[in-house]
Amino acid sequence: MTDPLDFGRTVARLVRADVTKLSHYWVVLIGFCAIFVLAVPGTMLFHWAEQAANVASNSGYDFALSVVNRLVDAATPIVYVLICILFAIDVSNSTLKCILTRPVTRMELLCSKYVTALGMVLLMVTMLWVVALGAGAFYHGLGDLTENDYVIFEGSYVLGQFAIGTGFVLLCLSAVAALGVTVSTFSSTMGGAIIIGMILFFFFDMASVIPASLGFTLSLGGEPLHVPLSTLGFTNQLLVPLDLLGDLPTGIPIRTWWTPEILRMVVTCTTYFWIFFAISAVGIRRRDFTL
Amino acid sequence: MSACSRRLTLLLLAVATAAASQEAGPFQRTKFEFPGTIQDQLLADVDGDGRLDVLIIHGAAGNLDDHRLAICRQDDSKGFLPCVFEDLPDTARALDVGPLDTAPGAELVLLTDEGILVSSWQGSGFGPPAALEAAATIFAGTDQDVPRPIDLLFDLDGGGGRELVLPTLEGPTLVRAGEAPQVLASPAEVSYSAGSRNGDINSFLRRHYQRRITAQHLTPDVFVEDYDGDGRKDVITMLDNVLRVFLQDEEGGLPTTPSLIEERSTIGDDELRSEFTGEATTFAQLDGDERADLIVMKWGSSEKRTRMDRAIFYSREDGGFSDRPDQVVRSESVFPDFDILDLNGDGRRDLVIPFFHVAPAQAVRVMTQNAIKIQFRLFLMRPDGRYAQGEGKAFVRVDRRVVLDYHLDILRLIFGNEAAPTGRIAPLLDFGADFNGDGYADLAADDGSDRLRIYWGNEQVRYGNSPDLVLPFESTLSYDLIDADGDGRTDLFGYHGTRPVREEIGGRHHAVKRKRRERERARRAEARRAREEGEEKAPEERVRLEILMSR
Repeated sequence: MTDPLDFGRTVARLVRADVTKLSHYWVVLIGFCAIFVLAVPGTMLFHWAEQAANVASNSGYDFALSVVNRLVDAATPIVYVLICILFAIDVSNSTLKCILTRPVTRMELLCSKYVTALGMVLLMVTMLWVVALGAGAFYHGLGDLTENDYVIFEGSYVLGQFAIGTGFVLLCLSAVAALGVTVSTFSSTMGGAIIIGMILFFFFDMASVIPASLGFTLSLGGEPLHVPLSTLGFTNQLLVPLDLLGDLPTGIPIRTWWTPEILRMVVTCTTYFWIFFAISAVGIRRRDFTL
Repeated sequence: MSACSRRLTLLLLAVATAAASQEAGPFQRTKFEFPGTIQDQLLADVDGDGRLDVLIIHGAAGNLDDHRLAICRQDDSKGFLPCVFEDLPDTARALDVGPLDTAPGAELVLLTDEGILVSSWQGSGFGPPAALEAAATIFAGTDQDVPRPIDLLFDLDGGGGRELVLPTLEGPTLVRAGEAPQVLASPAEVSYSAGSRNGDINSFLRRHYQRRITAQHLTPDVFVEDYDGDGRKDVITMLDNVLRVFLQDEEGGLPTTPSLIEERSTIGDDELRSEFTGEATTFAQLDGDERADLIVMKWGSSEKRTRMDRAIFYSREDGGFSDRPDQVVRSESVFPDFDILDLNGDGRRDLVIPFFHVAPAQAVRVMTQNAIKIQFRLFLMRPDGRYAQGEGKAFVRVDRRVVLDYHLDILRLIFGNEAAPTGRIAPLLDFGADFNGDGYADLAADDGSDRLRIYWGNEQVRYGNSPDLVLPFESTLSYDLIDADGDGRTDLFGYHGTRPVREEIGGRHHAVKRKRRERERARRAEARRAREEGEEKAPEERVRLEILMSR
């Protein structure tokens, strides 16, 4: 029986090695630079578009939320592709063989990849929020959330709610990351990982455009909960918490985060995460990395 | 078709519409169904029993020309009698139903392209129409179209019978029994356009010819309300931003020229350049002083197209208004509509303003959840006659916010079998009801999934997070909320089977419209022939009504 502390230490060492490796790898650096490059001019374009269309945001928070809403959709495929090549980098550089010659179990290796992938997702979301809030402060100002000069929410409350919402976004992104790691587990080359990864990603993404009217209705505490088939394409679920956050700039407090829609999102994304984790666990146990 | 067989057909229709009533919580539910397509509806006391009856202007399925009036009368047990049907003449353009004299029963007033027809209620239907010599209305000489209900009958002197106010080019024309018609000087505006906007092929061919001209006559809105708080009803006309008030004197007379003319504008010169900006004026008694206050609404601005500013000018003791607004309510929405209601029963009028935030999240919500989120902002009038406003602040403060989800199946709306409703979509989300008769405004919210949620109102105007009552009720985009039986509790009428009517005048569809009419006339002639020969097929479209009478 593996000592959990030893397991954790090994995973941490592997993650540190991954981070060192990835921070020197130009594909990964370009990927994150692309997210930043996408975010900054994207934010400026969004501001110009608002001005051109005469639909200015009400506040810096409103602006930041709208920006993140758009950018997270654009940046997710980039990080996903980087996650897809996590194993392929090790395989193509033969570093995986070196790692497996050490006293490292395959489960520890898999968990380290998951932690690295989640770290990459966290970095992406942090970058987007920093750019979006920075731009929001620049164009509209932050501070307390006001409407017609009346304070409707204190800044700390808004930021706290943004943090909770981001947590739910990360939960959904962790399912996306799990899909990436699963693809990575079965790939030997970076090209193959990217191609298979993108096919699967767009497969799930396309499922999200199934008309929302198609689905089934569950009863949740006596209230009907419509579950559209588009939920199968779980990638769009990350917009659900952002939708709830969108209430704040309109003066509506978030009384509870446990709305039926959030519950549906949590169940969907958690289920997908564990399915992908199980598949990748099976894959890494059976895979012959010595070739 | 002989008159006898026509009567027989209408009788069979009446039998087919036998209303099914059943209890539904604190309501009595009644459902009607009969062949045809709703074109419009009105509620009026036809038989003089003090209860409002439902009148449905409808056409035969797929027929643009064959207009009928279904009259569904209320019985004395919150139910309805089977509908009776009246054919409307092809010449009918507008109609109203109400007591024109003090005799029991209402009159049906029809404005036609040739004149005015009046017929009285005779127990089971309206009698033969009689021509009324009054004035040439704006409908004189117009093409056939769907007859529309228009308020023509007003009880100006409080005598029980009503006076007729006719829309004419010279201005509203007041017709009282035994008196010559009186024209109130508030003439229609006539605008025109000459040229090629109608898709005139000749304009492309660079030839010299007299181009077609489109002219549009715009008569003012006409209100009959007490404007100055003297207890007598006045006539107020409104066209653009100009309010013309004809004050009634002690003898019941009205001046021919306006007693007062009010015009306020809040649009700045820089905003006039913006295509998004518009302005409209209305009036209402807001602060409880019985005198009308002005509300000038401006929508759009050079910075934000969805901005809606409602500038309020409170009436002063001398009846005048200040040049600058006393208060401004700023909100944001796509539509300029709002409600003026007494929500907490204090005798003062509160504002209910729908707020719709244009944000990507809304599009996402429609995409992933088939729902839109609509916020209502409530502004409560305080005892000092003003809405809450902070010291040194430019705008009124929101007192309450109510958020409702509305299920909106976009695809079904676009591609579904049921015809889209006439005009703008107006879901049943309404604060104007008092279902339990406690004097407080209840919130009726159709969730778009055939369920009606009711939130009881209270003195504090705080609605619960969850509804107090949920009833099955077919979602509708066309409804009436009114106390139809005079018991102090609001009743609900939902209409289904509405046909869209293209309202463009003189546009490029004009020729197509005319062609369609000709085709429909031919089809109707064929249908009549088939009826006479016993080959009539069942129409596909059906008019449906669902009524909840409060108990």
